[in-house]
Amino acid sequence: MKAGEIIRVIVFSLIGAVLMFWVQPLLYQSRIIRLADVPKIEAWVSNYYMIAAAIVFAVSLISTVIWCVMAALAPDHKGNHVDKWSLIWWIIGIFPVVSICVAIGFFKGSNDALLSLTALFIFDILLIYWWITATSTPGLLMYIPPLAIPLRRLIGDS
Amino acid sequence: MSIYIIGIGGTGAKCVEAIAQLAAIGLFNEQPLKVLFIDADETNGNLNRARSSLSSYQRCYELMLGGDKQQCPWMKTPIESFDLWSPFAEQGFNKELKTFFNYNTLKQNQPTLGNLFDVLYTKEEREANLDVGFRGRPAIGSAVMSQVDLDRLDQEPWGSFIKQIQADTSSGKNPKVFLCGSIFGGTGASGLPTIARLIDNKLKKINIRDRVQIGCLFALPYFGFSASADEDPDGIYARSEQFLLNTEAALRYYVTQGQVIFNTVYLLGNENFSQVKFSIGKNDQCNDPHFIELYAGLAARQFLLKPPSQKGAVVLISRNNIGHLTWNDIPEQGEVKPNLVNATRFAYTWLAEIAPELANAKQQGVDRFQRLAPWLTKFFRPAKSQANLPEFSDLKQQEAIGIISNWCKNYLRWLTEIHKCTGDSIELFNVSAFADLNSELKGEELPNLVIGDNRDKSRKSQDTPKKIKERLNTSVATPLNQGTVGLAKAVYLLCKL
Repeated sequence: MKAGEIIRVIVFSLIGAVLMFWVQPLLYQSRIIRLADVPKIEAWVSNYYMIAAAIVFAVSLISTVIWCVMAALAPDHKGNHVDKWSLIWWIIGIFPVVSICVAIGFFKGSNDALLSLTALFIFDILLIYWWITATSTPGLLMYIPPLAIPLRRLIGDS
Repeated sequence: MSIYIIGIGGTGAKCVEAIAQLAAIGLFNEQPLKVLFIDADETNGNLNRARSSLSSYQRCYELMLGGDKQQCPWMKTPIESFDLWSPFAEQGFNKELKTFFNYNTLKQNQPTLGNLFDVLYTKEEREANLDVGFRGRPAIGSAVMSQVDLDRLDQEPWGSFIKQIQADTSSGKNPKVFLCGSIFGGTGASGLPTIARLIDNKLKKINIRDRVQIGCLFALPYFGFSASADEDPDGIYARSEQFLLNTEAALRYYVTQGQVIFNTVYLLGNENFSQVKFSIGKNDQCNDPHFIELYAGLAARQFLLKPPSQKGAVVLISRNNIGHLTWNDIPEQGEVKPNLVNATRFAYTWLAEIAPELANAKQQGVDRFQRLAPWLTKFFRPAKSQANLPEFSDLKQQEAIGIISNWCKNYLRWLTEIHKCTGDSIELFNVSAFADLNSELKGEELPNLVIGDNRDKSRKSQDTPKKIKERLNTSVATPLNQGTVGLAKAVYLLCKL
């Protein structure tokens, strides 16, 4: 992997962590997102939200790292072989999606939170898995994640 | 300084082919090589293949015009061709010895000479059709060649040939003339000393001989054949059992009469005769390239770049082990090996990895394929981009792909064939990796192409087509570094060990 790609993985992961563990809890604590069935919001955030967020964050980050390592080590170098890696990207992408289901299923703690948690976690996995892989996948698989070509062109790494 | 190369006969043409291959890979300098073929058999298979190789080279060279030759030695030498001259050029359709010498008139007007002619040449020899060449008979060839008049040298292509040498000497250059051919067959054995003498005389006549160096390469016997069973045993055709005798006579002629002509003489031969298919001439006479011709190319290189200072020097080289040819047997290995290795790795990588991908890109559309081959977007304008790069679908770019692929195939074909010499084990490249150019090549063999490659395992493991493709970028090469030419240059440079 090139240094720029490694740096991007680290920076965007940190941004993801800040969003999930600081900005998003703040949305609930400051009542921007209201949960009518949760009387003690601080307790809900620490007992439910943080655990769910940790699960989604960990699974997304591990999926991202797995993808990047596999991409760096992939022996394939011919276009038709590279094409098969699209499927692998989507399969790995299932894990963060499943992690949302698991996290919300076990640690929702509020019916009112269902919709907002789902939306926020989907946004989070898009950032941590799709965005990072689209901007930082190494080698010949760099354009395999969807929309990687315009994104990398946008950040000047095409 | 220009070098004028004259390939005489089939072997001469094969030597020119080898010279063109070595020039392509940067073993000559940027001064032009000017090539002239001499053959009575204008449709000779060896000659046709050499002309085809030359044409492939020239088309590829034109693509690379204008780039930095110091950075990328590939295709740095311009080759100009005077094409072919045949001693029968003005003879029309009846190419028999007796017609050439007006035998019937001679017999009537000067019966003594006519009778002498009968003694020297049998009826079959007199009446043999020579449009297939001199049929391995130096006696026939010498008679025809000796009729070439000095004044006829003013005819094309000789007129241009001499004028260009004159122009070179006038502008202070010291041109060199290098003649090559076999000493054991028909056309080469008879033509080489004769043509050299004619050129020597002509240059003396116009007072520039002292500013022109003349070198020659005599190929001693290195192949043989057996006539097919249905061939007339008394027919007029080359017989390989006579090669040594022909050689002995030709060398004797050289010692007594030719020695003063040449500044440098190269003699090349081989103990093991490669068996080739019997042919009297024409298209059918197309023998595979032989490693001796690699040495012929290297001899021409030495004559151009580092000739022996002593006039009349005879250059000798030998192998460590009979039956084996390794890198240690290659003269000036330090300069020759890196270029051969670089070019071979390039041609292999291009045909195994790049050309098929470019074909897929053409078939699937560059918009789709660029996702699977990121390197493509570095050299060709990506879809929906304003980048200042050539369009992949542009006709010129597509033509260039074909031209480069054609050269790569031509070079690897030649390299493969010089490894397949009967009785000799040529241990330079693992040619099995690209022996069948019609099938799909496996790029994975890239790190194992060179025999005796002593890089450690970790370095070899990093030497993969994948790594090359990952590093492909316009920044690898200086301009011209875009489009097909830029891509080829970048691959060439990244294939350097």
